[in-house]
Amino acid sequence: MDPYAVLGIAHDADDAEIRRAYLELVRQFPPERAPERFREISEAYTKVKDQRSRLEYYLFNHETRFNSPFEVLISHFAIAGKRKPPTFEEIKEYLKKCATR
Amino acid sequence: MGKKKKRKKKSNTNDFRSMAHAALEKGAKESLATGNYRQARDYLKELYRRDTGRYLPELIEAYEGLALDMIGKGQGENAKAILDHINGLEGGKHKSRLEFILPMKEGNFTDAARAAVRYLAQGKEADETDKKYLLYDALIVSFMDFDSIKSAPPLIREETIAIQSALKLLCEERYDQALDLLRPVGLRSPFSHWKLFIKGLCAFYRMEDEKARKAFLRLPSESVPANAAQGYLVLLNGRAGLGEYHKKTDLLGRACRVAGEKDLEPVLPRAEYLWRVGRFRDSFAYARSKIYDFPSEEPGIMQSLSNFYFNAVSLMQGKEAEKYLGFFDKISSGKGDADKLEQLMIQRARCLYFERKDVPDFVPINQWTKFLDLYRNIRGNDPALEAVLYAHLGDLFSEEIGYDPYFSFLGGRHSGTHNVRNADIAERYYKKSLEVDSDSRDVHFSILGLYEKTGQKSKANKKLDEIIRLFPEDKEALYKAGCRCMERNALVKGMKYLERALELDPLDSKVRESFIVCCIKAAFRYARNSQPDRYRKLLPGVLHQGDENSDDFNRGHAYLYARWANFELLNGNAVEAEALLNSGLALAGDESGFFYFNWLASRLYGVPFKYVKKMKKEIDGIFSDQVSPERAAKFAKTISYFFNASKSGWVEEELARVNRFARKAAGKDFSRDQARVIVEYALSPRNGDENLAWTYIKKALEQDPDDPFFLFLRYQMKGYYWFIQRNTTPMKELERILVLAEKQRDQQLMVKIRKAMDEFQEMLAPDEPPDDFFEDEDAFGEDGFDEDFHAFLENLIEERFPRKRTNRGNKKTEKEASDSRQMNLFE
Repeated sequence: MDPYAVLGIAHDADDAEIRRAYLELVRQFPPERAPERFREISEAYTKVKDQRSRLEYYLFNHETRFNSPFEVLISHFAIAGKRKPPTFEEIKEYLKKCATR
Repeated sequence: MGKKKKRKKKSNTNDFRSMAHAALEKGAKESLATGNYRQARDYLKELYRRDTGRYLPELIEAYEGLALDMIGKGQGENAKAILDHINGLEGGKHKSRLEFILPMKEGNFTDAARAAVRYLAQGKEADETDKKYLLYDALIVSFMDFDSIKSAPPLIREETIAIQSALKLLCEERYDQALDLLRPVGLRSPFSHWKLFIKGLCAFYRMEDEKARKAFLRLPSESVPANAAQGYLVLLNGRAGLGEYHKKTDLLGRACRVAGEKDLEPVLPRAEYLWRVGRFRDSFAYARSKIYDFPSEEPGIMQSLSNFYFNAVSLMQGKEAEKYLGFFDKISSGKGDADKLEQLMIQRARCLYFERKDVPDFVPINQWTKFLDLYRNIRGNDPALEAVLYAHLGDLFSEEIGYDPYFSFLGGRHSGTHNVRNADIAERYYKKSLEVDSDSRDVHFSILGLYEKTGQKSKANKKLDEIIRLFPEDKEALYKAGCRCMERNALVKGMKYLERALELDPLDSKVRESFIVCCIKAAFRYARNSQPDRYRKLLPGVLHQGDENSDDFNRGHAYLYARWANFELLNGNAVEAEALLNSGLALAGDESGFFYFNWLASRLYGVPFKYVKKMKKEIDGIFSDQVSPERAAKFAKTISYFFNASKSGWVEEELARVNRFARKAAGKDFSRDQARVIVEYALSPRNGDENLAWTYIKKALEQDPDDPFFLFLRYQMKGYYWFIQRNTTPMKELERILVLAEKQRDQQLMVKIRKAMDEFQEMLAPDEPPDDFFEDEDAFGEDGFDEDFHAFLENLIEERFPRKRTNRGNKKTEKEASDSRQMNLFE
């Protein structure tokens, strides 16, 4: 999983911003309450915590935790901080589409 | 003459007319029950002809079923024709549910809702079929205003408006208000499934996934909410559930919409399908052609998708990977500035791919150089990136490689004179990295590591001195410097470095232990040089760093006192020695273990015999009279500590003595931990007494046949055929042991077992043979193998899994060395 996406930071974030984001997430997802999420956040932080790590990740990361393109979407969705419902028009359109199936 | 084709028998009206009434009824009933509406229609047409009043409802049911089948197959026009026909029956008195289902399926929601209202206004309710929800769904999804549905029954009207309003509140994130609005909608309400759906949606957007999933799974199938919920369930089920969906592109499209990625709706499902059926290049090409900003390095899903496609080659093997890369080559050979990012990502994928392959050294260098040139072209110079890249090349070529005597003559990577890939290239690139970034502590250490790996001691020492100069407060550097000084017997300097490292991190046990070891070595030197003042000044500080009640032979106070006592004896100070020994004895957990340690230390330090006569007598007494597995384990641990101390014959004598003692003790009851210590001792490289080990393994397994530790040792000691004779195989045995180890949560053992399984599988499944390997049938016989090959394979297996040997000290048998954490104090 993209560590920047996991930490919710931009690619040009500096060490201090990255650390702040990391600490905030760890407060939200401590190991005793959300061990899996905590592990994901910690791993992400290790990969981008300083400039050298970030460059190494950019150049040499070849991990492929996904087995297919759709898994990318599902993972992105899973780590999204907040879920925003669609607009009323969007949900109407969606329901109508489902009604014709 | 040709064969006559069998023709399908068309239903003949006359056949039905001649059928008995009961037979027609039975046929109609069965056809309706099995959903064979066409046949049901045929039976019911005849029954209706005989009695129109009685069979009209069932005939209409058959027609409706047939029409719904046609809708399902996209034959809307045919379905409409059936509806017209139904409306023509009995002067159109019967109102079919097709009136609202058909327009809804065609997306004509206003007409559907009006038909539903008319249906309800006539006092009709939905029948108890699986389509019953669609009547009410038509009202909801039309989103008509209140006036348009005013002729519907009041309760239906109110609940329709409530559901629609609740949906609106949900979209405004006013979840509690939405749920409050739905409170009057009861369990028996025809809209109860909509209430459940909205509850599920509220839970979903509040990230209460389990609640959402439960609600969605309870929705009645064939209803619009159930259909809508499918998209949410794809996301909730996560990656695990994806395997079954790849053909359901419409469903995946819905999931994209729910996930807020509407732009991916027309692309990702198809790309997913192509990937899942193994058409990787097509999947990539499709995504590339349909997604506007692909590939992308901007944060977000596009970047993740780009990385997925470019990193995917790492998952592929052999020809598959080559084809995929070949496709990249085709793209990168195209022209156009807009492709530069793509070229960069392709080149990176190529670099990473070739790192994994057994290729000549110039290949990865050329590939990464090409990448760097491309990068500079697109992004300009980036010294930090260059430094990291050069350091990486250094790491690549300083990787240790194994020496395979069987296949080294076939070429492959250049192994040079050292056991790293290429020390010269590694050093060159590390230095290039330092030219760009001289402050990189990691690279300095990497160079040091390279020198250490390749045995270049003088260079390593110089490098260490340089590191200390550059990073004087670096604990790791000080620690390494201290250890290296110890190796060179520059003990005073070593103590200085280690003491400083300890000041920087007093809690680092590794540094503490090294400091103690260095001090003890120095103290021994002073004792040998008859400098009691110096070692007496040093040793209290060592005790301060040690552990009072520990049985660690380096840090434990009891053993530190024992050493000190021996130093005093070396200088003829028997009285002082006795006092120190008593102090040590008072702290020792076990008297016999302490005495044995002291005895061995005295032999090693060369204490004059006159001082150790009494001690020897005591030790001899213990060994002859007081046999017990507990003592055997203690003595085994103690003599193991001294293994590396000396090559002198006395170590062998003591080893033999302990082995005899342990063999005698095997006749008594022993605990699992005692057996472990003794077996590890017996199998250690210096000892190699397999018989002794087997004695304890066998007995331990009699006590507990499912002990994974001993089972794994048995596996390592027994040959391939031993398992075959017992109707199992090495692999099955390993799998069984792994399950037992998992139950005990013995992580270390699990790692060893998995490694053994990988090795076994690797051994039995060699790499893809060269293409021409099996072509010559004349050479290899009809089925491609011959006896020579079988024999070769058997020999390979026998080498890896030798049959039980009876001679001692067989060094070729692979055994786990005793995990000695005790540093060598006695070199």
